Amino acid sequence: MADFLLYMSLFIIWFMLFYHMFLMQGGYLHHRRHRELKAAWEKDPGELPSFSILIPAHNEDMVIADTLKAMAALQYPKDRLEVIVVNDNSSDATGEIVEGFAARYSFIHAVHTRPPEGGKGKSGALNQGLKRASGDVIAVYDADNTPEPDAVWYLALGLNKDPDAGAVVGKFRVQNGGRNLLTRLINMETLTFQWLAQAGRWFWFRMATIPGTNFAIRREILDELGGWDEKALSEDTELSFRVYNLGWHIRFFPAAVTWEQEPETLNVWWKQRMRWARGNEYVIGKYLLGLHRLKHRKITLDLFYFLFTYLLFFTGILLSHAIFVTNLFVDLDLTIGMVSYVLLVTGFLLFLVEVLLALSLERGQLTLKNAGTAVLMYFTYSQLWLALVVHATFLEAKRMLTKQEVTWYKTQRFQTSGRETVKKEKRAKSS
Amino acid sequence: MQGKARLMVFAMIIMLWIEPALTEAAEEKDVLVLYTTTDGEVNADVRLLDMALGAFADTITFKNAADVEAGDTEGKSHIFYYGVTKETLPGRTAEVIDTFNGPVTAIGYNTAGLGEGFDFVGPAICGTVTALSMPGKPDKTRQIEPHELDGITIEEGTRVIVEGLGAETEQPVIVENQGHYHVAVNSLVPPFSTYFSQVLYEIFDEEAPDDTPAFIRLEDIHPMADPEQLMDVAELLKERNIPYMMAVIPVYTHPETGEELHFSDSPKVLQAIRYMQDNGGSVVLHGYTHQFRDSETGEGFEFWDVEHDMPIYHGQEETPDMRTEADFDSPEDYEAWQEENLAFEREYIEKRLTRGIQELANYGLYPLAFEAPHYTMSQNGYNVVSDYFSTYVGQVQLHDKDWRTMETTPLASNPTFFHGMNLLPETLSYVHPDDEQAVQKMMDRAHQYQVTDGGMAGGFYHPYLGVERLEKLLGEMEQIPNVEWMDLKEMENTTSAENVVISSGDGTIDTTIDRTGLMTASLDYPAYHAKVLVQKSMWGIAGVGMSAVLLFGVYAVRQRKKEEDIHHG
Repeated sequence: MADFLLYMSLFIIWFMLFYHMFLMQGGYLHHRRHRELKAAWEKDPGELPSFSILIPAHNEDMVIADTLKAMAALQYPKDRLEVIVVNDNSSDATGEIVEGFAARYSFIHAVHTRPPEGGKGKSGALNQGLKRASGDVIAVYDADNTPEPDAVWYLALGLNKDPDAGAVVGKFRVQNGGRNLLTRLINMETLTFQWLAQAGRWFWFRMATIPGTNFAIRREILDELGGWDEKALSEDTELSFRVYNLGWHIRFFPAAVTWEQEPETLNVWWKQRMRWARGNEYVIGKYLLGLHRLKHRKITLDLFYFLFTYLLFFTGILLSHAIFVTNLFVDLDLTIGMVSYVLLVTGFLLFLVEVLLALSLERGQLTLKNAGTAVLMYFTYSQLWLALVVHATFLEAKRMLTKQEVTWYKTQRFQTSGRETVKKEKRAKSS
Repeated sequence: MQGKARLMVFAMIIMLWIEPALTEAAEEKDVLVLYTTTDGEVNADVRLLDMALGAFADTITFKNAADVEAGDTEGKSHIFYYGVTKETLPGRTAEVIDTFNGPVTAIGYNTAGLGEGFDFVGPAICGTVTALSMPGKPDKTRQIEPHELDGITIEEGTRVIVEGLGAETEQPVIVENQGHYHVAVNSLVPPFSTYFSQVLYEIFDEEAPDDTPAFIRLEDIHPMADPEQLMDVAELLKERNIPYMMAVIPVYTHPETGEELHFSDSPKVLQAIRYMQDNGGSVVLHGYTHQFRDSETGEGFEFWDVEHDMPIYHGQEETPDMRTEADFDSPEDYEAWQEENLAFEREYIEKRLTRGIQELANYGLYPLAFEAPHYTMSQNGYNVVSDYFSTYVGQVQLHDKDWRTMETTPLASNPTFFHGMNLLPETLSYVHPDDEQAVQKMMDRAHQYQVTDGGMAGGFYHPYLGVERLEKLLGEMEQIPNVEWMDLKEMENTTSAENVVISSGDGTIDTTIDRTGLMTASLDYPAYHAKVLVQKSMWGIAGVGMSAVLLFGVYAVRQRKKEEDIHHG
């Protein structure tokens, strides 16, 4: 029995690892090819569409000014650009800061919302902003984002040159990656995620998941879909599925770069990732039950990817962990022998080399320090994810059984360097 | 004239045709054994004779000497009379023997009733002998435990072939006079059996071989055996180029938990046995579990209820039905009950043999012979085994009343109660773990069996004792003059069970296996292959994973180099 479970979990784990290997290969190939494509498109960009940027902001006075400064510096014809900040039920100085920018820049607009329409979370705020937006293309940036000046232009370029793309997803980089060990780990995680999962899936399947920020989507699609799903905790994953379902693909276009702030404390990290994990599990539940109604089979690929990642892969890992530990104390008569250690080492090396390869694709990231951190990452950060997913699954299962309402956790921001650290504790939880 | 010549040529052709057939018929050794026993039935002693004759005779017919009729000797080449108990024989017996032309051999009592041919023998007082010898053959003299022999007197002109030597006496033991042989012992156990078998060469007019066949059998190889020890032993035997046998038990039952372990649970042991099979070893099926009730595998008796000292006529948990003929209303009822018992035993043995052969074949292990656990087997049991195996290795239980009636015989044989099975007798016993002198004792036995030319030197060894003692044993055994190691694979053996036929010869094993049939016979069989496939695929997975590690490593290094070039260029 223990034998059977062990083999089963190993098959599941390695099924996922093989898929990741496959994606990593795709990501690498995409990295090699996209430069030429980018150069070709830059020569003939086509007519730029009217562009609306939505920035949902709830108590963001710590970071919103930097964000808007970056918006002001965007290289895009200003007559075709509007930036709509949805000041969603803030109790801090966000409103005033935004109004200040709005007064100075004609293309920056402020929308202030209060309950009952406002304060419902990110999806709600985005829907409020969408009502005011006039552009043919809608882009979303989180309030802690500072896009590079050409980011928006590249997003528009992607949609211009790829008529089948419903949305274009840029690349995000970590602003505070050097702050502490946690942000360093997150930096490596985001790079690996984008080059492996995003670029890899784009290369092989013309798919990418819309992240919460730095993406542009055709207005007509949002209209057809009726905006964002306000019940979804991870509105981005949910939106991706609906876009696929309409038959569009989602392009990963790493030329459009934004820089964003990542959690600097474990507590905040845990809460943010908990939202993602639960949100993704929500999506799995929502679409898996209605699998037969999905028009485009391609989604099933992603759906199963999520299903595997969040349920089976972690179950497999947990199971093999449990068997391994149990076997230390009780002889389970496992017959697997040597190969289990070989697999263990191979799995670890695979993880390491994939992270290192992803780092190598980003200038100046493949350093000795980062390589050492990657080793550490496997034993700390990755194991933390395991605990997180277990917890998230438990909570989601409980929610589904007791039909609880979802509550939105807005990620807590941190002072960018140079500023004083204030009021962190007080604003730890909101809405 | 022409016609005459033609006729002669024709006649010559016919004669050429017929003559070989005639000589062949003459060489056919069809033996009639007449016996006198307490109950008039073939008993353990007579079966000892059966084993001895089985090495020479083509057919053996047994008959109670009191019931012999004139027609019984028709077509027979040899007559043996065995007087196990003293009895006055009817005159007809003497008449039948007197009219017989071939050699007649009388063993034991009642020589006086065997006709004129045996008048050369008379009774004498008994004496104690401490050695046996064959006049004119100094290498055949052996010291023996002091033994009291019924003395005989012989007429002049009688040839003494074997004699017993006492402190003051010389006593004839086997004698011959005009084709009439007399064996003056009552039991054909060693050391007498070795002399008897040697004399059989003369009686059957067969040339004695120069070689001494020998075998070594590695005992009790079950799923809990130590694979490293097995491999050590295998390497030693391979190095010395000695073919050998492995007594394999497919199932190990844990003595405390009752848990059953199969070779599929011990891949390393399995691997070792496979290696051995490929490098000189031949598999001998040694029962299926080596136990009937809950005793440790290798300790229990599988085909004998040792607690009640009876064959397996009942389930493991059942109380045996110990009734005797007197408990039945009619002989028919008794017979029917006996038939039932035999049918039960047959089914029990068949199930285990089938399972054992199939299971081993499924692992790629091909048993070429059978050895019953502790050699315990009823007469009915040997009959069942003969349906599955052509070869049996070990000692032999001689009757169904007491499992301790265990004996062996000096030569490979084909006794009638083996129903066509060939017996490879184990003569040397084994290296007892606690006996420092064990190897020497085995060699003493080997020396005794050398009295018979070509007398088997077969013994067994427990691999868990390690290589040193085996090395010593092999070293000693190789000193046996003209020793010739037996290789089961060189011999023609056939093992068959449902869906599986295994045969050997010329050093190879041939199998005919109905895979579909075997895989559907028990779910365990395909499950084993699935498990192997899974295990192999694990290595495949690791291989693919490692390749990816290398590939991605190369990518990363290349990428990094490119970046440096851009930087510096």
